[in-house]
Amino acid sequence: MPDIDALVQRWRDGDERAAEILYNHFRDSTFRLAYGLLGDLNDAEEAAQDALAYALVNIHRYDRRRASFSTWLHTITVCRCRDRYRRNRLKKFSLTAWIGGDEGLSDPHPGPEHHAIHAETSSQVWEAVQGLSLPLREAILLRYWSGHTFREMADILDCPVPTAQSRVRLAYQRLRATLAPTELVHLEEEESR
Amino acid sequence: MNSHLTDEELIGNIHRTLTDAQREVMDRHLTACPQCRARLSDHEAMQQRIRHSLLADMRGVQPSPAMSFAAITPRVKGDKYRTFRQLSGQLFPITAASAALIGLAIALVDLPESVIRLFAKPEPASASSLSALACVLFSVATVGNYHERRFNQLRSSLYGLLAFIIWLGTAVVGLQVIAIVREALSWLVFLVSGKLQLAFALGNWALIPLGLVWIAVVIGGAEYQYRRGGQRISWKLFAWIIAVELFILIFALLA
Ligand SMILES: [Zn+2]
Repeated sequence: MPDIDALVQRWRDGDERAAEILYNHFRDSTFRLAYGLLGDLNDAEEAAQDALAYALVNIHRYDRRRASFSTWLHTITVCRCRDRYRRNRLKKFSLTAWIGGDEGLSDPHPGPEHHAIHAETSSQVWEAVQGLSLPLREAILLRYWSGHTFREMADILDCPVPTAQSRVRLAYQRLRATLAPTELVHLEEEESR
Repeated sequence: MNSHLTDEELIGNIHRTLTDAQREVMDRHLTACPQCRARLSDHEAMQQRIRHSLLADMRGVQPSPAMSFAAITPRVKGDKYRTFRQLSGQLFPITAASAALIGLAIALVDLPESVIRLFAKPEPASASSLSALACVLFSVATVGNYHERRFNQLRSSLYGLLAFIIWLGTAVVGLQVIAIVREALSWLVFLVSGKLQLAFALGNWALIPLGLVWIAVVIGGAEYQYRRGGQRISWKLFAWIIAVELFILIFALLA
């Protein structure tokens, strides 16, 4: 693991190689967080790319006394994903409602360069997470996948700590309600063995 | 034995969101109750399942090769304003603080007159351009902060002070805004009824609800800022208050 703060300092001093190392170090995790939040590979790639570019251009705004680099980057990523999510929903609402049919849903500019390698994920847990509302999805991913503390989550989500806590608990309850039936079947199978 | 633990308590336990006192009570119950222990381990298993599945799912996805540093290099390198941004980022806290301080000083100049106006005969008078200027200065500090998206930890530092200055400043300007609204109300009554006495009386009575609104906004605002200081939403609240004040002041200036 490279020394992130040293790299940040080098990039601030104008060393482009440091920017590239930072980019490569955080590329996959930023993309994955965006994918978890948006559920679409192309959207995730664009949002993550936006977030990384913003972070590198605005590197002077990063203050390590306030948060770690990855917390700061996650803050930007969540922001970008919220914007994109809102835009997508707006597009869906206006076009399908006004034109009717599904034409509005397809991407009008399917760029050939945006095709992620792997097929979309579809585990049960994944499906259940994608079924959550965006605030709950943010909470569960930051807590369960990124392993942020509630304090960091409050910073990233721009909400009080108790709100972050209750969102995680609520998200867990929703997931459990969706996943529990299969869980019970699972247990019965094990018992009958 | 006391009643079994609720699902909420167990969920709070696995997410470590309980207070020490709550934990102690729970631990005592758990040592004595195998049923609740089993339920707790069910929850723990579920939590593990979600966590492991998410980790595995995430490991399985990769961005396409198109997502590369080269793709954003023009944006990152071609930033001609980088030095400027850097400088403005460093200067911003000082600029915002001085804008707010100057705004407060200007607003205080108007304070005695506003207080006198509140209790004088409600004759329509113009607003003070000084207060409007103060509002503009407050909005500079507020909008800048909103854009910068400050973190929670900052509530004790310079930004707490900045919020306090803006809060005080908007409260002072608020007095003049109330005076203006009161004068406008009694002027309207005069226009409609044509009775000067009635207009004056109404203007005096209007002071009570208007004063209550002022107190509510000042105290409520203070409490809100104290709890949510440093968050985006707190700057948003300031922005709204300043916008309303500025709107009324400019309206009075033009009228
Ligand atoms: Zn029990």
